[in-house]
Amino acid sequence: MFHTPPIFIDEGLHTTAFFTIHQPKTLVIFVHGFNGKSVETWGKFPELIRTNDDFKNADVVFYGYDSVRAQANNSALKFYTSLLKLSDISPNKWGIERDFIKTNFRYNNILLVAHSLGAIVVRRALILAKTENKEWIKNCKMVLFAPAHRGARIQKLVTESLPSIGKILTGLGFITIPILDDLKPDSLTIKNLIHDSLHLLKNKQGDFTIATQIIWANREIVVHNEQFLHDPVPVLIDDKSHSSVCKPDETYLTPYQIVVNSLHA
Amino acid sequence: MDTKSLNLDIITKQYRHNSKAAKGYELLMNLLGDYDSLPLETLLRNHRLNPILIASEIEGRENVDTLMDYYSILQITLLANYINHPLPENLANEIDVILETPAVKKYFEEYYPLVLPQLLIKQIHTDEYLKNNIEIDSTPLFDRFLILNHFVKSDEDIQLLLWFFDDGWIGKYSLKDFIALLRDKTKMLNEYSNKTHPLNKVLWGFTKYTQFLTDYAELIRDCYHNSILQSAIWHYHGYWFNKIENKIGTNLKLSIQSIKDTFAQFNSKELIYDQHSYLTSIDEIREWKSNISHLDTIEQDIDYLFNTNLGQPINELNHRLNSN
Repeated sequence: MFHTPPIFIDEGLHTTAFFTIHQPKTLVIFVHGFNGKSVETWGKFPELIRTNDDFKNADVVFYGYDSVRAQANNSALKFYTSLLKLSDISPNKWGIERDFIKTNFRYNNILLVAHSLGAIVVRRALILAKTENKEWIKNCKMVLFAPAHRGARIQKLVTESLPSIGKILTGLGFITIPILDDLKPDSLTIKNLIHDSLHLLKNKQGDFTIATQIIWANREIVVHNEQFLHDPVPVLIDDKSHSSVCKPDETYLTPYQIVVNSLHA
Repeated sequence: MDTKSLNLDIITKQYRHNSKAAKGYELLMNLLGDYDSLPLETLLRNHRLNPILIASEIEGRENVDTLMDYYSILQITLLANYINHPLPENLANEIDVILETPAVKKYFEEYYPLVLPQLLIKQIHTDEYLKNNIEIDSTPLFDRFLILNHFVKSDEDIQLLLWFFDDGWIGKYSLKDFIALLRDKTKMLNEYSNKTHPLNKVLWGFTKYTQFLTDYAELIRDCYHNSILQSAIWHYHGYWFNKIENKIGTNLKLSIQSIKDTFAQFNSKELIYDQHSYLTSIDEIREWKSNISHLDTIEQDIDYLFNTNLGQPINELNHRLNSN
């Protein structure tokens, strides 16, 4: 084991961290999607991280937020605030004191791994960081699983993401979920995200808007698998759906390997 | 530092030093320093005989409960082989002092029986820790346990729901109003779908808590290879699961039944034109309808968790240690 047990940190909602007991170089942050949970969205990632040495020099944070009731841009703003703290404050403040971490410590790299709606949250947060000229943005990488950055099919999203009672209550109209509007392909949230990213790219300031890796599920029915500006050619995973594509298990290690490869690239 | 020592260190920091448990310990030690034991006995009295109404008492007991919670977690960490045994001497001494205090003992043995701290103190006394011969590594299960607990305990909507289902009121609203709204769609849409309405939070709490029960039932099932650990994890929420038969479980099931009744009466056309519903076609409604059978699964999970048989292995172990 190279990491601490789960440490619950006071950022976002149910945010959970696994800190390395070795010298950290990279901060890896996982960001779930619509109705996801900070850790559970990611299948056996925590177990694999704790039992293998691939993340030996990485602090790993599973970030949580209210992905159902809050607007996407509000979630992005909150994530940006958390990102500022996580990247600028010594990680010794978060519940584990490592003697070898100095007060002026900064991570060399930040790897953001997002699923579905999480891709919108992460992209918008990085644009906010750019607006405020944050230096660390140059060292950020994005790995996006089943990203919703080109919109989603709302009915399918509800069907696949909400628990049974939530689906029934939403269908009956008992529960309304305003964020669903943000996820429509022609929503202002998505149109502005594309517009702002394109503007930065045109001005040669948008390298950070290009994901390191995009992963699509072959059985995807929820999000629109469409290219996002200058992103690389996606990896298409067979036999996986929108929600299972980011969950490694004993027989499906691809998501783990993809993140490890990006971590060490 | 080896992994198990690190685990203990982090668990202790989170659940003992950086939580209300620290205040609970301080409070108990202050009261223990008094020559007169009456203030401690008064604080830790049985609320059924003498209700707790003063804010400082409510807070004090909450802090003590959090300390008990830490001891319960420690017992489970031992059973999961997550930490080393025996416990470090200073920690064992602390537990001994606290749990052997007559007023505290009465509190967790008689008034609000918690079997996990009872087991812990017995092991410390005999210096014989329960042997766990199961070879399967329980670390991932224990991590899941911590993560699920953190979710349910820190979620405001769920805490509101549990309080509400346990005879609580929110302003002028009681459970009767909640059930009435689940049965009356028009009333629901006119009065309660407003995001800021207090019963809207209960509705979300209900949705999330049923999901938690499903996840917790799955975790307990996944511990099938270790019936003692399985039982300990069940006992950790025993306060609610034992009560399920009386209130929480009954009210959960009543709510599910009300949803089923409303579901049975829905009108497809109405739903398609209802701006509050996300359903826009007959095909979508057909797919959506298939979810109703999942409500039966949730009911089965509620029955599974209420099943006090899950608590038996730890109860038997506790009795065995009593008779030794």
